[in-house]
Amino acid sequence: MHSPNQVAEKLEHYVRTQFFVADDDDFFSRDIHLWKEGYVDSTGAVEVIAFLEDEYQIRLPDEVLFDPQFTTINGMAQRVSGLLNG
Amino acid sequence: MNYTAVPPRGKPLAPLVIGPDGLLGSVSFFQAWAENPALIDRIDGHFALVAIDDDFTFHLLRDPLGVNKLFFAWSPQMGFSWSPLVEDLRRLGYHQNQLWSLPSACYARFKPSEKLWQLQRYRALPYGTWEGQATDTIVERIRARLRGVFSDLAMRLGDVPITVTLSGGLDSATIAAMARQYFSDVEGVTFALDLDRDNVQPGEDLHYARLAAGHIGIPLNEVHVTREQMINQLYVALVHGQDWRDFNVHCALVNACLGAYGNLDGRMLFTGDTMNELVADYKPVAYAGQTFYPLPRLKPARLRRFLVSGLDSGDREVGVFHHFDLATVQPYALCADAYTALPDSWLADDNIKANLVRQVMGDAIPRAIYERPKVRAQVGNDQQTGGTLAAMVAEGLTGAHLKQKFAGLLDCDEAFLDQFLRAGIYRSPLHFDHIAADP
Repeated sequence: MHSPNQVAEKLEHYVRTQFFVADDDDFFSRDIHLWKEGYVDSTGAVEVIAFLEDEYQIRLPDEVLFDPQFTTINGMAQRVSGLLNG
Repeated sequence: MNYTAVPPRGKPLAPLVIGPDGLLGSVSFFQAWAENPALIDRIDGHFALVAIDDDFTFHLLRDPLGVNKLFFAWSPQMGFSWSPLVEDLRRLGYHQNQLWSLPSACYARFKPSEKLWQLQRYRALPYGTWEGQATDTIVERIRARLRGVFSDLAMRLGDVPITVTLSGGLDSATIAAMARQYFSDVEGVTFALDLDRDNVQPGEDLHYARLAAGHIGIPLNEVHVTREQMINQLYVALVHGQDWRDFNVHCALVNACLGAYGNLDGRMLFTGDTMNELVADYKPVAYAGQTFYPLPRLKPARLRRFLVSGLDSGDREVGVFHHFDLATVQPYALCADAYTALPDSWLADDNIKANLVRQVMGDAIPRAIYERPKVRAQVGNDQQTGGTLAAMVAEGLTGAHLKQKFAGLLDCDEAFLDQFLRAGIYRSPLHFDHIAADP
């Protein structure tokens, strides 16, 4: 079982390290809109999806990019956890 | 069930449907599909089809790679409209938030009266499934697929005059050599920028395009344009190329120049596009101390799927040439299943494409092109003058400026564009409420 919190933890670590989020960035959170706030650009969005697919051995459909839930770390974690736990 | 075609707004784009005979349009396709559910597995091509049935349900279908675009909008007041050109829907008065796309390789049923939106992906490309197969076997399969596609095209299109857009690279040279075998009237067209300016020598692309045409035995139509002529095509490149990202705009500009200045009336265009996506053969380009055309930081085997998915967006060839009433065929897109099946392990080798093409095409392509260092077609780099990238940088037409201009031309907010196109995919609705949301 992968709880949303477990997925979110891994994803947050990935985003922070890959997209150079400063440790003292108080604005950043698991509920921040990653695309709109500029933490992850269009190219980076592909990297985030590839990370989730590789980490959890799942295939995310292209349309997920436009799921309003799939814009924050917590939202993505919910979606991935839902897929994993069926 | 009876179907009635729903014509697009704006200028219709004729579909190219490869499959059983008689599938020439939306009505014939949906009718035949209703009678034979397995039919969907046997079609390919470049198409965006929309029909409505007796039950007032709209049926939408888009080709497997998304070569043809299918934008649509719906509102209670204005009803349903679709077009291959998103600008047409804006001109009709739909709000930017009412603009949607049908994803590549998808079929959708849409029935507003019952708040129904059902999306179904009908095709998934095989990635890396030929891993472990003998090289000779793979080469023979690729050769057979290419021959099959050109044979199908010759049968469907008849012996029409063909012009191949020759960039001087392997992909387009292969298409020209294949076209030469299956069509009697074949010529090449190529683009050269800025040769009238002082100190600008013919670029490498032009040299290799001449070499390819001469070797294959076809005439070459050289389209020489000035920087000003090219910049004059920016509106076409943006609006009809349906994208603001520099790699697509720069390519669309070249095609817009070919369309505008190439005297190509009455000819059908064949291009070598999509091959680089199918084998993940792209690299960022360094120019003037900056890196252009950045890519996701993924290994080629992993990157490939996303590059292919990204063909969903941008209309740098079909859309741009359609503006000039020129029909375009991308033969590689018609055998995408074969190229995506190439083993993942092959993609790690920088020379994979040259090696594969050499075995498939042999001496039909000049040796110098196999041995040419890899470059982005028509773009130029720090070692080359006269490319589109240099001209665009000199004019300040890069990144943010292109996005701003695109938003202005479509009368959209720049912030909306980030929702409209993300990671190479145009936005599509997940359910009816998205489509019906108050803008």
